Amino acid sequence: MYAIEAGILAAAAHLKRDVKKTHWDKADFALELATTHGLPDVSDLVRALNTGRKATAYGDEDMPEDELGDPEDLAAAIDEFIEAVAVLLAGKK
Amino acid sequence: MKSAQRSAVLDRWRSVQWPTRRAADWARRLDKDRNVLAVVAIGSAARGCARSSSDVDLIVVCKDAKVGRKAVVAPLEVDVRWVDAEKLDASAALGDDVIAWGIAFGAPLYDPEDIWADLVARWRGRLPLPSPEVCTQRAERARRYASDLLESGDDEAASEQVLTMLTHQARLVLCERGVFPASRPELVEQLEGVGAFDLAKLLAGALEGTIAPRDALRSAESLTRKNRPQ
Repeated sequence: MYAIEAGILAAAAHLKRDVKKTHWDKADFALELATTHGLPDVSDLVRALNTGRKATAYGDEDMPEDELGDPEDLAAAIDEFIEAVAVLLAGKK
Repeated sequence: MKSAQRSAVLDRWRSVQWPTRRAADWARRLDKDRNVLAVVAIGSAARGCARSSSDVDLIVVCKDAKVGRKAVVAPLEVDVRWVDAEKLDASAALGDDVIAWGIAFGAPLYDPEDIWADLVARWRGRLPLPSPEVCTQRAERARRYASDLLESGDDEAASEQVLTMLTHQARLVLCERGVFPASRPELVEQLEGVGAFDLAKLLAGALEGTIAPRDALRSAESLTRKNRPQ
């Protein structure tokens, strides 16, 4: 989750956009990155990973295993997003 | 519902610190769902001491929690715990943190059949405290994550894990002294009340963002070593 959020904030800084530090503001901006800059939409993934973070930290929620899916697919989705942010930062998009 | 009751419920809705308008609008629509029997606000937002970055936590009591969880998607800033009405007493008896906290401090926002009010009447004053072993495990796990994140250079993420670690350490200290932990911002005052001033100061610094995560981690480790039985 923190890798994706760091990617979202890097894209925000590149686009000179001020995104608050809350998880939901980052998820909202991820959706905007998908709709206006063609990046993979990770907004739902941020939500699922944040639920997973809370499940691990506080144990008061169930781990959203269905939403997170297969760990290898999850890692690939994170990689794909980070790559797309790198392309955006390099000015190729 | 009598007008005095309606007015009390409206006051409670207003007293909750909703992080966004959409969060409040979303929660207000829950009473239209026939599966939903009660809605209770918990956490710092329900206690009027939330930070601007805090989400709002709700217990939603349902006829069938599985149906509620699948059918209704909450905004990210609303943290929902879906529970089956028929399992409430069993959860309280087992010391479920969220249910116990809700009974001790929660603000019922919708409870037309008095399901929550009756639960509170049955359990208030005899709730089990959170498990010290679980607090210790969670604090240790957050410490490891914070340490790894610091090593990777992500101080912002490390700060969140440091706060989680200190929260569990605070809960541990309070439970060991027979005090039921309130919401996170209130833990500082509770710690001071039991004489745990060093941890209170550290938690206050982490909450206010005035202490660097690396320094907080180092101080917390030193406190743990100092308090470990010889």
